[in-house]
Amino acid sequence: MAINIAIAAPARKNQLLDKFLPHLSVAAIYAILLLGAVMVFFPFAWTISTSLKTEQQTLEYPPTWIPDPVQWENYPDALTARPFGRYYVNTTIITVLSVLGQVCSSAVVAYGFARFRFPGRGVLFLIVLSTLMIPFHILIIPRFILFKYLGWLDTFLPLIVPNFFGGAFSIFLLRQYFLTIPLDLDEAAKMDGASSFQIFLRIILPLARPALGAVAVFEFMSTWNDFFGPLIYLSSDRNYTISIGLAAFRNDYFTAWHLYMAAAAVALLAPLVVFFLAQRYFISGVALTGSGGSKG
Amino acid sequence: MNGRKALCSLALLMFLFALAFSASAQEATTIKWFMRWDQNRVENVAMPVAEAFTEQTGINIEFENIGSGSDYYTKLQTTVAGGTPPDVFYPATHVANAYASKGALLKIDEFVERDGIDLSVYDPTILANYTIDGELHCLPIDHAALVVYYNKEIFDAAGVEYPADGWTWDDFLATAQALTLDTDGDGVTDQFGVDTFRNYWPMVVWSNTDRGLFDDIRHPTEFYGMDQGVIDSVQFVADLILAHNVMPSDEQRADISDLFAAGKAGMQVVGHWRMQRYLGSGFDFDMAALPLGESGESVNRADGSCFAISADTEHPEEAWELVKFLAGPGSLGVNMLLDLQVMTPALSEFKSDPRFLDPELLPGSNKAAFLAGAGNYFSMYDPIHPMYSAFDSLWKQELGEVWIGAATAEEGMQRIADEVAYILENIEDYE
Repeated sequence: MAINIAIAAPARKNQLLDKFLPHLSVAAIYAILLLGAVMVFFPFAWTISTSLKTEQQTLEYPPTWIPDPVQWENYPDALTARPFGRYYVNTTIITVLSVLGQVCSSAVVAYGFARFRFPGRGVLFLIVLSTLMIPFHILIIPRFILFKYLGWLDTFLPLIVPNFFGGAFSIFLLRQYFLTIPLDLDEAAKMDGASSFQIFLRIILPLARPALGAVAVFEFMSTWNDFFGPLIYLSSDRNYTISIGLAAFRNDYFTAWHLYMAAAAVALLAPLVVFFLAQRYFISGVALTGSGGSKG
Repeated sequence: MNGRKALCSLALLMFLFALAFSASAQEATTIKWFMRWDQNRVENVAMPVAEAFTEQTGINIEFENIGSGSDYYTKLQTTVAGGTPPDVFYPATHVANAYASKGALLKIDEFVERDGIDLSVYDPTILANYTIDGELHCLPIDHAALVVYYNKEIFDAAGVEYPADGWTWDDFLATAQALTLDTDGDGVTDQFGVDTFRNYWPMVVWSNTDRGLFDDIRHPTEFYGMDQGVIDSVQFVADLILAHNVMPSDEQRADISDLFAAGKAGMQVVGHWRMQRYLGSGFDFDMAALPLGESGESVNRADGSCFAISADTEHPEEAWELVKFLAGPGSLGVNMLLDLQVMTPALSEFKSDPRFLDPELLPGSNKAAFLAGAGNYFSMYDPIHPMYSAFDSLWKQELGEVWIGAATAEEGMQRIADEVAYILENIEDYE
């Protein structure tokens, strides 16, 4: 009898554990996810909250979450303080063309590295990757002088055209992805009489949609939020982008936080829409960059 | 026949060229004016001034403004290095000197002489900031004079007397202590005597020692950091935070940009540039001159900003006209700035102007507090030498330890003095 009990008790304990352990781990995962979501959501919520406060409320100490009164006028005030409509259009033009240029040119180069054997391929790829290691700051003035000689200062060209020459990170990302596409597909297409370019267009590109999407999203984000490029190359108000327009609310002595946040919230709309539309690619892009090395 | 045809085409070509050139010669000159002002000054000063200038001179202005100083200087540096500098720009004292030492600023002595501008109407210490080896490099517009702003309502509620003329740092401390309150009794300070001004610690040093931090502001050979007066001044500022708790620490400030504007500090040590903001905060305030230190001398800041012309400008004459229009004696630029209540002018004539001393926006206020310390002006960026950036990061790091109580002022200054000794020994590396 004593033995029976001794055996039964641990058995019951195990059953209990078996029953609750999955729930427990699910709960733990949700707790971590929730914490992550709160951390990500916090700055966004703070932006919205501040954008609806009066100037005096933004200075309140300790800070409050709920604006009282809710200052809806901040939005029209902020958006009419500078020609934000124009800035939105400018930013959109630059971003769309940059994304297009980056994706197209990087895909072609990556295809070359992934599918053709030619002398010096390894070295050339290494050179492409090594451009990632050049500190951005030492390029500022040479590039500025180059664009000056081309007569491109105060135009969108310095912000768009370089993207048509590929980017090392995008090339790397796409090449690694192309390498995972079976060669058999290329060969089958070749048997059917497809040229290299047709293989690229009809086989590789459709199969690489997740990677292309990821490259496009990364490029979108970096161009949309770029402050430094427009700051250096653009000098007329009519050519400014949103990030430069936002800076008008900020100076050394004072930031009109309520207006700044209202304009920033509106500037966030486009990336938000893009994120929801391209969510799938974005997530797979994260997976790609996380494991890109091992896939090659 | 062929020869005649060629001759004809040549003539036609020359004619076209001549046409093009005459067209461009008739076109009005456009000069680039690059600023780092807030929207208030852009809309209420820069735009009307530019319009009036074009109307009067026929010279067009291409105006660009970047509000944040660091972004402004990044762009300025890039355009100067890239060979497309703006014709007229707006450097702060130490930046003007750095650019002048690299030959990037046009010397304006000849223009000043030719147009008979009487430089004695500028404060001599301020003008000296921009005079290098006897040559003037730009026209100053203002200086960043500091005052103690005080919230009258907070003073009244605490039953504390308003600051009197000739008050000392001891009076300042006593006042700050009387204003520091824990209103709800939870052991956490709710109202501070003064918002933080620790980065202005050199100002306390000047008031106690009546001299700057180095023996020569342009050619430093000796650092006074280990003088007892300097150490005591730094310790005084640290003690406001650590011993007396009348000035908030970083944690206590919680990144609030201005505790005084938020009504949570009774006093604020800052310059004219914050006034617009305080005018908008709805409480009754006034200004007092900086307290006196051991030296008994009233002191203030000399450094500010000036309008400079690029050495590479293609239109020096036109650029000079604009600089005169902005910062010259009796100029429209200074006049408009004065009305806006945003700066302490470098021109003496405006210092006695009722628009400055007794503005409609602040009836009966003690604006004269900004003028205290005349004759004892010092630069906050000391020395005015390329080594300043090394010194700047050095003191920010070492005094950072002092402000949190991890080191005493003496220990902090000792470390700074050791490093500065090394810098001064190798000063040619910084030039």
